[in-house]
Amino acid sequence: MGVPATVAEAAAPGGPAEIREIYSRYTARKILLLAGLGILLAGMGLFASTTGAAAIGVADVWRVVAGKVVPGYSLAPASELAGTVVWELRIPRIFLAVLTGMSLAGAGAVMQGLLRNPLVCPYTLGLSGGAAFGAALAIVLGKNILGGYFNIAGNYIIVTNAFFFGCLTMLFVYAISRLKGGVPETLLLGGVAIGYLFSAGVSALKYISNEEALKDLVVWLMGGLWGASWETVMLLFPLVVVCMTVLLRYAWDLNALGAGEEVAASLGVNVRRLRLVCLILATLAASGTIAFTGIIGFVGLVGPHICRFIIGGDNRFLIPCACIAGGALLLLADTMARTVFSPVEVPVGILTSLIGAPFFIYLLIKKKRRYWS
Amino acid sequence: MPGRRLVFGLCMVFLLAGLLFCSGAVQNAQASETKVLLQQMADQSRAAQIKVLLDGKEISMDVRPVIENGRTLVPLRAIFEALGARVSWDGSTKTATAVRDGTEIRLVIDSDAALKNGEKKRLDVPARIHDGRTLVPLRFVSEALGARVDWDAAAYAVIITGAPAETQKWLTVTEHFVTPEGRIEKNAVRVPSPPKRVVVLGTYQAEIIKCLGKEDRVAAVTDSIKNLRGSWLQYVMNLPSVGSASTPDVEKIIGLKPDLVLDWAMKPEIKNQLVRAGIPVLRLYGYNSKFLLEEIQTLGLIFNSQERALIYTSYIDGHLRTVREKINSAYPGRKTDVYYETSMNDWGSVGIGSGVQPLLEMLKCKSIAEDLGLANPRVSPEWVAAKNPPVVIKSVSSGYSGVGGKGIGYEAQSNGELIALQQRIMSRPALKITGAVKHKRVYLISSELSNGPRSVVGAYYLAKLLYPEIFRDVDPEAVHREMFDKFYGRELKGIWVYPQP
Repeated sequence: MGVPATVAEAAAPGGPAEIREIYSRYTARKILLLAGLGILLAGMGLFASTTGAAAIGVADVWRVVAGKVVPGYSLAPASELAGTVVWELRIPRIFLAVLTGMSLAGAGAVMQGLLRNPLVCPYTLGLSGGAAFGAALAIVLGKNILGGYFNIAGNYIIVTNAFFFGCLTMLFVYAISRLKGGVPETLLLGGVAIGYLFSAGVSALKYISNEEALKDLVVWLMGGLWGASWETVMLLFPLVVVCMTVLLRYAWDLNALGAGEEVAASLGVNVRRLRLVCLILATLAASGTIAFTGIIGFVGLVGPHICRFIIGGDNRFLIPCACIAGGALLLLADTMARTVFSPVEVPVGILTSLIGAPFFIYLLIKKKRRYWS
Repeated sequence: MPGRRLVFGLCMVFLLAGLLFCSGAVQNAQASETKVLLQQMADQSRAAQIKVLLDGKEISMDVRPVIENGRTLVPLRAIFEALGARVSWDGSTKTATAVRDGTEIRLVIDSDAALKNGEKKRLDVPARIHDGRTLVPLRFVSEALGARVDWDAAAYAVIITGAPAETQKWLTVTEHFVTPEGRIEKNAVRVPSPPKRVVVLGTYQAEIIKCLGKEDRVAAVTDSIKNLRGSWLQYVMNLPSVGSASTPDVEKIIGLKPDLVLDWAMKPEIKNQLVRAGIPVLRLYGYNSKFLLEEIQTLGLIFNSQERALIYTSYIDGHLRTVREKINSAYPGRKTDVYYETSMNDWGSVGIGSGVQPLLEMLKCKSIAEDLGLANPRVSPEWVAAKNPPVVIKSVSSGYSGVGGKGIGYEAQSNGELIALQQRIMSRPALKITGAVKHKRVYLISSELSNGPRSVVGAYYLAKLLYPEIFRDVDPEAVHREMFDKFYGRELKGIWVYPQP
């Protein structure tokens, strides 16, 4: 924490003590904001756990959750229905929504910082395209090659393949950019190109596949959280938390990179290593969740931008903020998806854009300052 | 006595000459007989290879054509039916009568006289019975019915042209069109009758056309039809495919020069392209029990096979009536809630406007998603849990919902995959707590039987599963077997439902 203090001292007028005070007030406000967002997210989670197509009273929900969470708690047990609905359907789904939103928006924020470009997200870097291609390959060819056996191991194959291809794409894009000396533009353009290549691949697979496989493929590509279960959550939770925590440790380096590669290098940041490590971590988190949920757009791109408006460009705050806001956005969208036309469910992708886009446009118009330096 | 010697000598000479002559004659006779025999054998073996082509299409015959005195004789029924004539047989007078377009021909077995519209004609070779089949002279009957007959020596084929001057007329029929909101619209569509080349996009349509005996009119099908019905509806396997039912290959369809397209899910844009190209498109679902019988009758009318359509629909209708009456009389006021899940996806249920809804209604079942305003709503799992349905019915189609191509249906040999699927459904958290799972009332049924013409069989199976006490004496499999035998000309195989009632 010594470096930024000296930077601030050197750059700003007035005495160091005063500046330090302003700075700490400034940080405190941001921490407060983060805490507020965290509480909001938790509140939304609680709200989501009490709403749904099955009419279950708030008291019953509390009883179920308390009974599961608090050890030795033995109040009159809620009905079996409440227990199953709350504990096995709603809560895993809430967790999956939050984890997915977190990893997509967090990865988006890190990638935007790494490449110093506001249009970067898991989608534009070709990661989603790669994962989609992996899933499509598994669905279309898996059915052809494995036949009946595919039905037993099918889901695992789809998930593994999507994850593998998501990561492979990123490595491929990174390798291309390394050939040109790691220029961010090459990375982005390489990602866009690879993204198109894979989407062509997906279209080709769609074209050659029969209607049965096509149906599965379309459902996967549309994205959704109905596959939520505790197993999925338990698998994704450590992955997302570990990746995001480690990425948070690189927030300072990302801040330095924001001032330019030369500046970062002069501040002792190994830019090449930073890019590689952060890209790998962001990719792991994003690919992992995409593999389970299918393509969910918008959150990864716009989540970080909304947070830049709210909390500014400092990655130490931006990354956690993007995680929380992304989680909240997706949770809100999914809760609406399952309740608006209850008991009919709507694909969540429709609602993320429907909620997020107007909000984002509102912020764009309202904020006069150019937020992207 | 030189005189006597001379007489004796002369006698001997005559005798010898006579003997020689006679033996020569005998030899000659023998040779000619052998020649005839050889000729006949050659005729027979060549006749075995003779092809009879009617407008470029080979007529299949169960008895080989026979060549006699240079004339080809062919089985009566095969040739007349190919020419589109109606045949009747009078056993007492050994007379075959064929009528087509006002022309009547009478042939008497072993008689060289024939009558064409009452006018006497002489035959080079009479009609005769051979191997228990009536054979008739090909050229005479074809020409008498107005066709031209040519002999292609190179191909060793009889070529008949311009044969069944099948008069095609235009009919206006009613199609049922289900809008995405589940409303049923009735449209009038003008179609040629009978159509010569039909592109069939629906699996149930392909099944119905087979029952009407008009599969020779089908010019192309879809990939799905081949995948889902190819195992037993074999005629579809030899036909070209135009892709999918919703977005078929328009150029390919137009290139096939069909005079009718039977659709059920085509995108409106594509339909417009076809209509602009002058190809009539008729919508027929074939799986919606509400108007299935009407649709079969419409097809019967179009294809000029109303009689078969009538046999088929009355069979279906009769059995459905049986099921309905049995349940109605035993449980007049009952209504069982069911969670019915489609084969397409998990949590996809059915409401008013879906094809299976009338069947459920007949079984005194009510889909819990009936009143959601959608034909195929995707419902929230917790809502299903809260509804606590006492029965779960899952429609299963091979290739979907985790069941492989040989998991259910004609080619299924073991119910291993169905047991696994039932287990998966019963272990879904949202269903685990329902009465259906607690009492193991989770029924899997092939989507071929939950919809379409064979939903009769599905109705029996489900009725027996739901009300075992009143359907104890009914064997759904026997009905299925009968349908296969009677309408599809095949022996029933496979596994169609789980658990087996």
